[in-house]
Amino acid sequence: MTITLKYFGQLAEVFETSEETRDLENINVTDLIKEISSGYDLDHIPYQIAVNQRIIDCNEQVNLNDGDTLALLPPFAGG
Amino acid sequence: MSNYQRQIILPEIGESGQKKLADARILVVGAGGLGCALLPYLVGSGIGRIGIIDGDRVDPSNLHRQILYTPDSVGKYKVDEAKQFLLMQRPDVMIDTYSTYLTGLNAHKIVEEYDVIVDATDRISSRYLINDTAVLCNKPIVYASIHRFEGQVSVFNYKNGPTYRCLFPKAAEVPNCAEAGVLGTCVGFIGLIQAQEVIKVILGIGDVLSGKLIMYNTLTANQQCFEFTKTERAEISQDFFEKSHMRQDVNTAGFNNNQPDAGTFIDVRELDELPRVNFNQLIEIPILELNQKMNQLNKFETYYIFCQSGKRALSAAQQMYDAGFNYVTAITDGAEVIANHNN
Repeated sequence: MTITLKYFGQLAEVFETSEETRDLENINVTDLIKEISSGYDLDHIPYQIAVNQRIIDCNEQVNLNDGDTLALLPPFAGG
Repeated sequence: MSNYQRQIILPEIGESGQKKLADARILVVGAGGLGCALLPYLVGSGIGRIGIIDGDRVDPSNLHRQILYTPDSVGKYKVDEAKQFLLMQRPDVMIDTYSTYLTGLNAHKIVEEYDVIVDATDRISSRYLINDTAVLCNKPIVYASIHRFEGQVSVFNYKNGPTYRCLFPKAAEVPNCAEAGVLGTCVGFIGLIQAQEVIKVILGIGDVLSGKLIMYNTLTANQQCFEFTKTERAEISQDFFEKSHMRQDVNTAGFNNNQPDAGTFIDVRELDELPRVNFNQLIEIPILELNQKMNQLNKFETYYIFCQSGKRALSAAQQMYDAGFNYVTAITDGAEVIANHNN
């Protein structure tokens, strides 16, 4: 299945892109986050996850379907 | 003809909407890039009373984006300079200025005077403070923030809707404009989206961004909206507020060898507690005598407070901070550690 990933703010800078697509076997959100973040130090960046534009609870187990979009949203501080 | 004729003829506003604007009291927290963008438009719309709180003075590095200030403003309080500009724009607007920072100690008193709170600050900790105060005072918050060319806008605590803690439950500081860089047009643009939400909240028109986070990228002109809901975990009580915000104003630090040259140490233990510590600049004031002896100290000096474990030091530092001492640090190490370093 194909999943679109969108990154914002500092996360777009860390991943050096604001959007990518990945072809994956059946996967849930937690495992997908593990996969995309391996090799990166994201400990200092808080972020929320949205599936198809809806922000999910970090404790929620969410399975992904073909065509889903996952967005990683950090808070911004500047003003 | 009324100055507001061109907006009064909008069916969504009319005479009754204009009266709502005239009756509205808005607090703008932060007179930086966002504040400078939204303030003249809020004033222009006919809002009756606007409070502005910011303890910063104008710095030359602000001028490229904080358009209420001129080179003559440098070194002066932002709130005073903003007020001067806004009164020229509309002499009949009522502007309250607070040349201080919003803290756990002053937040309730200030926030409860207003109907809508505008979060235009540049620190995550201030955003939690605004959120928690506004929730306890039952006021809606119009939020915006910037990271480089991207902006976020949302409305919290609107008609019992979700809050900043529902959106971002994990607190951690992230870079602000001074650290990450910012372009004036970007912060100005996001500030105007924020101003528009303020007006929508006052008038009760359109779809207010409650439970919705707008992410706008000013380089790609791409806007996306994310939905979020109220979470039970983010319940805010008076007790939670005090734990989160009342003690954070006091600096805490471990002991280091630079501190004895930078300020005066205050040992708040009883005089018979061992080991005793010796510094050139050391005062011994047992914590129970602190209140009575505090007036012998200088509020503008730097003080490092320590005790046997760090607990009394924190409490003493809080007492001094509450009494107006701004440069107080509670040492988290106990006397044993300090004495060992010292010898």
